[in-house]
Amino acid sequence: MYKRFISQLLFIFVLLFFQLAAVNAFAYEKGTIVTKDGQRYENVTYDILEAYKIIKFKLGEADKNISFANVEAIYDADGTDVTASVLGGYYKPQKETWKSDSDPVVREGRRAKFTVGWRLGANYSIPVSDYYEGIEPGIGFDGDMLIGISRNFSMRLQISKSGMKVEDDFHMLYTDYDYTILKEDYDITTIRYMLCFQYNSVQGEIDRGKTMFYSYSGLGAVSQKVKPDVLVRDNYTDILYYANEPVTETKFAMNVGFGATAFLSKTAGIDFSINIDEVFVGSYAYGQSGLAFIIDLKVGLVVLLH
Amino acid sequence: MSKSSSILLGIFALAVLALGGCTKPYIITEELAGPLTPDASCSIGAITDELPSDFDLEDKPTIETIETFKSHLYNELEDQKIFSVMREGLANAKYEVTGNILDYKKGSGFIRFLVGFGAGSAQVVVSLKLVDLDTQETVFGGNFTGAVSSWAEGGEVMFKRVAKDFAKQLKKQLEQLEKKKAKDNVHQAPGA
Repeated sequence: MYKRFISQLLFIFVLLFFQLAAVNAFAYEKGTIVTKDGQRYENVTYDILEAYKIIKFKLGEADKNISFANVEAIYDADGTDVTASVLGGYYKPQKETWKSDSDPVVREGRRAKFTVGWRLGANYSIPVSDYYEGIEPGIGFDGDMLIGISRNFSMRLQISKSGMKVEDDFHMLYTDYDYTILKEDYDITTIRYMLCFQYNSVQGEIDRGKTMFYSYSGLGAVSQKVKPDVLVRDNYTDILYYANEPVTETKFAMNVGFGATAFLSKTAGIDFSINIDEVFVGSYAYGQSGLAFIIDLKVGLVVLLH
Repeated sequence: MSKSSSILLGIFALAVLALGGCTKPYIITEELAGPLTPDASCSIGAITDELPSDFDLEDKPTIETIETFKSHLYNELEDQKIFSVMREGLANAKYEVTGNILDYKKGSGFIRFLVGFGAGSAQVVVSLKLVDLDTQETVFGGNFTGAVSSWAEGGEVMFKRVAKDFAKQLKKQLEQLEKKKAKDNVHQAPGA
């Protein structure tokens, strides 16, 4: 019983604590406060009410509140000017006049960080799931086109050719007494077409030494062509059968990815990223997963136009 | 613990939550010391940018937003019937309302609708004051906060709330002064 009572009491105190913490960021300090209208309050112990942008202290019995906007200077007990550390960005506020959306300065401030860009690179694609059984990772190539939409968002058109290949000891055909497999090879070509929405994060404007971090997600299709190179002999008639007709299937896919571009100049950079494609393969075999994944480790060169 | 004490605890918890949730959206920095000049005129003056130095240009309110805020101030003060004449940039006005934008978060109605739980909420902190233009003294002022967390409301509602709180507080302090004056008159009457 008591345990329940104590836990309820604790719960209330935690709630109370968070309520208070949300409203006030207490920072008790002692010092002298000078206001813009010429008032000077010596040796007061003040709190900062961050939510209201207020400095609060006792003046006799009464509470005195001073807006950040009315603070000229704050000195600590030793007389050192601590205005900057107490007020942070409010020490020297912007004081700019308001600008309308049509103002050139505002438009410049909101301009996309690049207009269009291209990326060319290589990928190491790792297939995952039952669907890709017998397929091993490989090195491929890819190209992307980036279209700046706003300051932090862009579209990403992605085309990539995976270097995945069929394992050497993978066989689809089984020998029996009637046939002899003389040759059995498969060549797999996987090309992905994706249209993604990308979020870009870079401090300030793109320039030499800056790094842009990004993440994206999109939809598209995976086209997979399997070209057999199979030679079989009929053991009774000695007739040879050769199969080399490719089979192509296209699957719907979604992807997510994230990466970073380290800029060598305002327009060029080296790009590293990880991409995960989720391929909707459907129920291709009883009891096997209808989803397959291709994980890519990518490196490339990026060129952006401003 | 008995059932009744559990209920009492629950009520207490709700009261704590209610009190916490009802924290005032403003702090008065300058209390009204005396009554305003009767039938005085008032002008809506400048609302200036006091946003921190590292505040992004693109995140600032636009001039249109500030104009909307000014019109809310005008309407709310007009509703309270404190001044006889009110106009923006009124020449020879006795009083002027000025302000400083200290914090601003535009928020996103779409995210408020999509995610909720406070995501995409809009917020503003404004320092507002009523200045006597004859003496250049601040007669009333405070820092007012406004917020919008519901998807059903637009971001400008927070400016309306700030303007309303300012006008109502000014009216309230005027009424308190009048009541005090009336009380003092009653006390003085027998000896007069």
